[in-house]
Amino acid sequence: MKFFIVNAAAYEPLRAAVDTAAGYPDGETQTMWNPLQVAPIAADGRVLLALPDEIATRPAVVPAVQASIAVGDTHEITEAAYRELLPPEPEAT
Amino acid sequence: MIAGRVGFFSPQGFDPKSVGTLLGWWDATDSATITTVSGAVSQWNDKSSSGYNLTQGTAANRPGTGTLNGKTCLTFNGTTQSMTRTPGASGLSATFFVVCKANSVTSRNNVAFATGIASPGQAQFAAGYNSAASFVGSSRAGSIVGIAGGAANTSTAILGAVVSSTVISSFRRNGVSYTTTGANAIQGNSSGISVGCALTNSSPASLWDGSICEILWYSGSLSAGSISSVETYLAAKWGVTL
Repeated sequence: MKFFIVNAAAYEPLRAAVDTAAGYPDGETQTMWNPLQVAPIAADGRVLLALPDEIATRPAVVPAVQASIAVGDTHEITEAAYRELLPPEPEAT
Repeated sequence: MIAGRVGFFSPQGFDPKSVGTLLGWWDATDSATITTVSGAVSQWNDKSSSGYNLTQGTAANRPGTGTLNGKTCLTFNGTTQSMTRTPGASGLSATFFVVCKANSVTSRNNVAFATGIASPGQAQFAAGYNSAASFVGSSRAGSIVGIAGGAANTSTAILGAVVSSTVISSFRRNGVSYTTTGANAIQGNSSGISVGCALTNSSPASLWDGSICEILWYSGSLSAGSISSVETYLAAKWGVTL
């Protein structure tokens, strides 16, 4: 797994760029990863992104994520940091 | 004639449709029910007549496949992967069985199967709930109404069952019934079905880290005899000791 934290304003453009490169949506896949409305949000408002290795290494994903990292919108973090930043789950579950 | 009788009573000869009213049946050993994309599962079809096919349209959230007891199962990473179907079935009273194996057990909720969403309520089978690392069935409004004795474990496959009605509920693990706690009966609702997670306001949460093998979901509270038949069938198939 790879773990990232993404500036909120950059999250949807990044996802859209990846989906365009991957040809999504198609007949079976709507998107590469969660839309903003269902993505986990850290306390500081940034968006948490976890990607299985098989997804993180896809040709449609690697250049877009690297470009986002290069401009400072995305930062790779450790799994421990990701879990620490996850919002608490609702009590009702 | 003797051979025929043996076959009739064989757990492997048992037909889950022969007891109760089957609402849903997801069987990972039936390859015809599983659709994969790039090796990940995008759809797991319901073998009952309800048509509650589970889907996952987001590439990063699709479970994989593995083996348990020499048979194919679905594997979930506890971080992104789940399958859902909305809406689910109407009616609050139900009995469900889930064969699963946890890779990890933490203090957080780790849901293998749930009917309904957290508000107004859901029935679920999970490993871990807040600070209680036990296998649990839980219900609406956050009240845990069934807690298995002893800690949840990662060493063996587990056959969990939740039997609910509007007035009484019970929770079973590996054929053993546990006393429920709390005032509420375990109740699901028709808002959705989730495998490998719970649904909180229609969003996946409490993701399962482990394998999920087979789920049987019946309308109403099954009789003790029917429960025994289903558990015997699932235990023999998946190597669970009752």
